[in-house]
Amino acid sequence: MSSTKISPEQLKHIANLARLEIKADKQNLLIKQLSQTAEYIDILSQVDTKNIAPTYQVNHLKNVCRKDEVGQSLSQSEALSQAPKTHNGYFQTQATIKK
Amino acid sequence: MKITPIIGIEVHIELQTKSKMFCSCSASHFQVEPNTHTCPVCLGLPGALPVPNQTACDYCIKLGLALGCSINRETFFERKNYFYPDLPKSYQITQLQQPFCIHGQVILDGHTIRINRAHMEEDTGKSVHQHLNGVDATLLDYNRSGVPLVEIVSEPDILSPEMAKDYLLKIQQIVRYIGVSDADIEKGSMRCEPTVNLKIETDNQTFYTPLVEIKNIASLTGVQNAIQFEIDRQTEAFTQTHEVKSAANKTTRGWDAVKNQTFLQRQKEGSADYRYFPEPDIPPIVLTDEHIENLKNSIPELPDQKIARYQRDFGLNNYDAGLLASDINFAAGFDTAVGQHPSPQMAKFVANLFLGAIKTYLNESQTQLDIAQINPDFFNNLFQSVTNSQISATVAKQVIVDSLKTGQDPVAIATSKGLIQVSDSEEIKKLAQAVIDQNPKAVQDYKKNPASIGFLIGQLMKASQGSANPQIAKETLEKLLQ
Amino acid sequence: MSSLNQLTLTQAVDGIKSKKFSASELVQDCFDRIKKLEPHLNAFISLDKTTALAKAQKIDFDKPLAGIPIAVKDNFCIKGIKTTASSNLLKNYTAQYTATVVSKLEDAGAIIIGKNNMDAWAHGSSTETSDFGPSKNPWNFDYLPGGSSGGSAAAIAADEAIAAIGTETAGSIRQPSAWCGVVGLKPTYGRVSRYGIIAMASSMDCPGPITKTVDDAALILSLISGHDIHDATSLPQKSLNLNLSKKDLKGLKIGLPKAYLPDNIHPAVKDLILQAAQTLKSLGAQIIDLDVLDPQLSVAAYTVLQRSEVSSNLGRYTGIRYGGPRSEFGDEAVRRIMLGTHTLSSGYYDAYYLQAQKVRTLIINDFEHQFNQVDAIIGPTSPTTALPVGSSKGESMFGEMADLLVEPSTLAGLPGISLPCGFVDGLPVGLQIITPQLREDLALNIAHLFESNTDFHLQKPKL
Repeated sequence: MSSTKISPEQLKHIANLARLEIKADKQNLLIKQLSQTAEYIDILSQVDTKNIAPTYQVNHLKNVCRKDEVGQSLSQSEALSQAPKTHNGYFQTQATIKK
Repeated sequence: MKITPIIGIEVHIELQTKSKMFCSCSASHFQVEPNTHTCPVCLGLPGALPVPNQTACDYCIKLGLALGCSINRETFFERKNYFYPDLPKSYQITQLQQPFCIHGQVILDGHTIRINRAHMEEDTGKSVHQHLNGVDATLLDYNRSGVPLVEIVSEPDILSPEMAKDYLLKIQQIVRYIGVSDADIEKGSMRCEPTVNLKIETDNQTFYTPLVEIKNIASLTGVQNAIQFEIDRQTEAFTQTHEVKSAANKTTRGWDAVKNQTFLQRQKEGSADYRYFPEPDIPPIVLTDEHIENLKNSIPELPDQKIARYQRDFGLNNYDAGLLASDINFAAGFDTAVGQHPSPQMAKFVANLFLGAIKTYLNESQTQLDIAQINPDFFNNLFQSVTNSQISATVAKQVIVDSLKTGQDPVAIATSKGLIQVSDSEEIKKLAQAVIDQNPKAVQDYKKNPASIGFLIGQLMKASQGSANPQIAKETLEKLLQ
Repeated sequence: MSSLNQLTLTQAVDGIKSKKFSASELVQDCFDRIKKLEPHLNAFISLDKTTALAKAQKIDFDKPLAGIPIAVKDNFCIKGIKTTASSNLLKNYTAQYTATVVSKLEDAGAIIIGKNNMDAWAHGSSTETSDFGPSKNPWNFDYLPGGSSGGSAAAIAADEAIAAIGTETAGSIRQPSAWCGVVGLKPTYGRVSRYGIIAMASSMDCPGPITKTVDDAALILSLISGHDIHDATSLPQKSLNLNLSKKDLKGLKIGLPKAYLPDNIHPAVKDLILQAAQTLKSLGAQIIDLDVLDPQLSVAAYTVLQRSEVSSNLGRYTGIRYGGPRSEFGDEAVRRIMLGTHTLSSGYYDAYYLQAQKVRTLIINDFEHQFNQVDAIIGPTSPTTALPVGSSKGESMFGEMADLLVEPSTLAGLPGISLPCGFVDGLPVGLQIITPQLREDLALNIAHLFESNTDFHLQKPKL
């Protein structure tokens, strides 16, 4: 396990992945706090989990599906009602680069 | 310098279910008012939860089976996390570690293209870029968000733009055959993203150019052109830079169909970390052998199987067999028409009718065959009548179309229209004499060149409304013109 | 004559049905109480007095909760009502649909009187991370009510509502219930539908009742539990109807893990738990020392898994379709999203997320092993009594550390209940009872018997 200390570059990288802007005056505190947490959770690395399967589903359910039937949708006005900006039935946001 | 293109393709098939993948909104979104088929789930509202569509999962398995895939008995969904306005939850529910289907193949003229996987995922919304009130804006419609998609990933076994086209046509055909999607590239229910690089052998060394994924292709021709463009561009780029493939230099380029070129998209590849993890809101799916067997049995005979059968049992050639099998409805019509255990002659006869008169009729009238109207007895009667020279081949083509239109026995139609072949030598002699009398110039031509008798035969056939036995017509004319 | 708002749910239901008083009187009495105490408690984000009183005028007496005023944590969506998760980002968000739990309560005749304050996005064990100010502990306004369902627990302890619904990811029902001296039940994961609840950690979130007595909790559970087609993780069973009829605990083996009474626990808290164990023993149970997996492991695994899921669940808040921009996330939310993004990221996934899921398996296996020896497990709900206002500020892992004793059962999806078992310096202490999955009946029966043989639940803060 690599060092648990978070570097400023890592902070920038994580913030970018999470689409969060970390203001300059908060960066150092956040680095400290994240590093503290990373250090705490490092005890996991000491646990021998060879041959242990991960748990993704805690109540043993399987095969939960629904029939292919059409149900109620929201109306257009309901769907748009909470948006800060709309235009002719569309949600509007500032331009993005093509994917 | 020897250049070998290495091409793999990712195909997305939009399934034709009634409702979306994880909610019960209608899955139809073509020419629908924006944001009218949405709900908390597909709009990504706070607190909403996904529940998978059983039919969509079955369609994915069916598609995998039709592509020769193995089906994973245990499979689950995962979240692919990234931010983009058309992705309402900022994650797409898809599959990574254990997809429904793996390791299939498509065979094109003896060349195998391996299929790595076919998995289930949900579609994003649609974005439209517009300049509004002085600003560049993106408008979003989430009607398409959550529509079920099957992603089919091939291995890089495709060797040319033409092969890519054939591969896509084959996928399209199979998808349409099993009825899970209309797989229309123009409408966007079938999307193709090729990844291209080159193997370059020069000076006794082998190099591989960096991988390029091409997006934004909207037609089959576009696929071919884009791949060809990339082959040329990468060849040129290599001679300039000698850059070779590495784990870090895969790029994404968009296809510009107007300028006929690819362009580098600003998003740098390698910076996308999707942080996949198993979807906690959806329990895993465990499939029984029985369920898979049932789905397998529900798959109709596929095109390649039909083509092989038509060749083997009916002696049809590869080309004709391929044409008959190209469309599942058309092929079903043919299969119904020939009935059980037809003789090869009868099958060929019916095949000719289908590939000729019936196909023409369907094209001209822009209709599909109604299988319920296809009566094998009608076709058998017609075959017998032609074999017995009661009905000429020409008349047969006419009356079979009438039969499809009216539902009547074609032989009965021929009889009622007086089209039963005239083989009576006296009748034909009368007609032949009339034709000779009315066409002195043609007679002169014949006397100079016996091969030109065709015109006179034609006139006699016309005079008899096609009902004359052409062989006897020819013989009678020749005799009279001696 | 005590006020109507001091009634338990069971008493209130009976009172309305037998027409001892009207629903309008009961609802009005709660609002009077709210008016008096809210300036101190800040237990509610929003109130809906007009609608509540209107509904109280025309109730259907056949319904099981006819006319009962109930408070709901503000992470439950209610159509047409502001739902904020106590975050600035959602301060103007009106939900477009109603959570299944709320629909069930309304179908049962309940009157939702308002939405409770909480830790923003349910991130915490103090209610101090709320963007709208912390709630206060009714037993001492200088102290925190716990969290994240702190507003709900405070409202019940202060008799502002007859019952409340909270959610627990790890401790968020049980811990504030312990700090406020009320009953909090976290059902088996999947027992109650999560549809319509602003998600925190999808594989752990559980809605559940916060009430004045164990009977009340059982009644609420029977009305909100049951399979929901909108939640693929909801258990197939129909609703759970329980008769708390056990007369004693004879033959029952109850485990008390040494690790749940660590050295750094407040000695007075430890004493109360040991006394509670004695009470259970006097009722016929056998108390057994247990060696369990170190709870610190659960804290680490829980922190990784919860924050990972949080980072993904909060991705949808981009301000395009609803809510404000991501810059409006508070400090705690930012910490959790950042850590969770890190633990899922390329190069770290295996060491953190995958490893945590494997440790989760070990924790589940350990409980299975424990439940081969005992029928139930008890301990303190929280290592401390309520902490003073301001305690959570600047801490990197306040919530997860405070919930050390409940995180193991969370990770295993087990049901657990907290109920009052004494006081230290005027602040309540909670006893928690954990049982195997689907065994809410056992937890509730043990709790009910304990409650019937003690009077902690009858004590109320002087307000």
